[in-house]
Amino acid sequence: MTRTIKLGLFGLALSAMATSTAGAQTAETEAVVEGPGVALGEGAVFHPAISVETGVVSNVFYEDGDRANNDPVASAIARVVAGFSIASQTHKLAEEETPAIENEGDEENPEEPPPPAKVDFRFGAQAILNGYLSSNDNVQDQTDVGVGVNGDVTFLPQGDFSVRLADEFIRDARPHNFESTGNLNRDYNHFMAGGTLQPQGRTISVGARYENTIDRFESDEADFANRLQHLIGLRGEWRLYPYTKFFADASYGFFDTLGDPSMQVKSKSNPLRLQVGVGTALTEVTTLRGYIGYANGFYDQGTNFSNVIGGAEFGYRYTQYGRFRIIADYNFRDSLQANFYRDYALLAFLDQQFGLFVFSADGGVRLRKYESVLGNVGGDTSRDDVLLSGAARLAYLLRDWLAITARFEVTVDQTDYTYMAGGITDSPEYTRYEAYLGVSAAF
Amino acid sequence: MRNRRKLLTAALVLGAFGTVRAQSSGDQGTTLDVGASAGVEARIAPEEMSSRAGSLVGEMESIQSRLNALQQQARESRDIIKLNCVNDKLLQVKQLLNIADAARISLSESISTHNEGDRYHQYTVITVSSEKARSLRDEAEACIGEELVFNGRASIEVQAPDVPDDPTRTDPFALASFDIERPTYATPFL
Repeated sequence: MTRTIKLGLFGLALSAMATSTAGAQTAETEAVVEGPGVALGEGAVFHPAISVETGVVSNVFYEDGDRANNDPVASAIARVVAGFSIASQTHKLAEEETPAIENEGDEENPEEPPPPAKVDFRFGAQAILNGYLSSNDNVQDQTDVGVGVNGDVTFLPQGDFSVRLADEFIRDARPHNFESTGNLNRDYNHFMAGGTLQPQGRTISVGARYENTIDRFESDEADFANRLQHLIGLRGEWRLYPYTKFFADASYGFFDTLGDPSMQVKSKSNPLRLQVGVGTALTEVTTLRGYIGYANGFYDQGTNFSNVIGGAEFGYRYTQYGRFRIIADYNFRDSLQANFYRDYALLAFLDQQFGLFVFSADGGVRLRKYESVLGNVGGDTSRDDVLLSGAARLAYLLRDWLAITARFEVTVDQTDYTYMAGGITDSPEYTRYEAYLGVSAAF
Repeated sequence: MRNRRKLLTAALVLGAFGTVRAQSSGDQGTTLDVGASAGVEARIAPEEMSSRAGSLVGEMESIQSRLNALQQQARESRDIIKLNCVNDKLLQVKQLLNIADAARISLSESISTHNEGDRYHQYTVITVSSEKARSLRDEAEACIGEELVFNGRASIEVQAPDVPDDPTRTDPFALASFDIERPTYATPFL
């Protein structure tokens, strides 16, 4: 691998890190950065990585400041992200894109492709220390460690029948939405097991899968929102052309509260999704992904979702080193604090590289509606939010394994929803800015 | 048998530039009709012509060496058909080399005597002999067939558009969804 290509991959990895939707407190389990790694024998590569950054958070407790005693509290913050991954040499990240940098390899004598691997795997872990640098005790107590662990293994990835096992665990460290020493730390685990049948030389594949999700809050006061979800699904794919693939997916879920049934305050549901989609390259530099389908939540109680769902993504690589994407989407999800929420989303993403500078930005608006908000919330059963988000990130690649990073993020949640808490009418609105400067190293 | 083959080869070579000889022999004052290739060579300086002739003869000697090697290869393989085939080409090349050697000596004499017509004629003899020798070398290679058996590692060159962003790598569902729902702070707890 040449220096140039490594720089490109490094930049891409930074970009992948930057486009994560996870907040500052989240244990991100996506690949942060990834250099060539350290070979462990012939089949595996070890990738250690560490990032150190410092910055400012404008609103630690997500307050709206509409009352005298709930003004947003700002704080300096220091973050240390340490992680590693072990991957088979044939493993390619699911979201990994072809680097927009020319390979300077020896094209006259290309390397012989390796034989098909029998096992393709990747295991990784991250620990994120969020240290709040403030004289406010409530803010100091938010200092915590987020964790992310993930594994993904596919047996016989190029065989007629392949089996895939994947798991992702996240410990999300997050403050309350009011000033206190407590938190809303949360353990989230998603497991998937599936098999895919695709005879050699065929363009059609079919597969079945089982998914399990456990979403559990660590504090007793929030355990009413714990969830256990099972989902079974069938998937068919047809690669009509090298860069055109059709998808069909049907899934059915068994969603319930996790824990003591007597604590159940949220309706059971059996969400059904029937979807068809396509991913295609319209030209060499323009891509289109889209889907349409039908979804039904089948909630036992309260408002149900039953509607058409769909979305589309258009991507355009306007230069060799620059690309933007626009997404429009309409879908629904099971909610922590309601039966479900549905989003109209319009999002935009930009990635651009200028020499050794890697720049990315994104922004979007979501028109969100919650239905059957839980009764213990103390407000209406329906809630409408406008979520605005924006981010800009810049990395300067000092070496192929070392970069200086800077990022700025803003999140705005606007709603007319109010609720009663302790005899006080409060609004969940908030505006939050975050700015960071740091150094990332990946090997 | 051998004499008859020599005569046949000589007749072939002479036939190849018979027109040249007919147009140039005897009368030096007549127009030299040597065809297009000779016309191109007409402006060659004597020193340059002598040098090129030396190169061409040297190339023919290399061809002769190559055919000797092929002959030895055929002997080792004990394939009488291949051996006879190579022998036939080798014999012709040797005869062409003799002709070219003689023409080169004549070329030197013509240059020294400033005989322009004969100079070009001898050079043409060498050129045609060289071309014929190359042709015979290819035929001898075909006799053995080795060169056609292994031409290096097989490879397929596919002409395809360069699509840097593969839209088929991931499924198109849930384009805008969060991985996990963040608490949206509707309650003192969430």
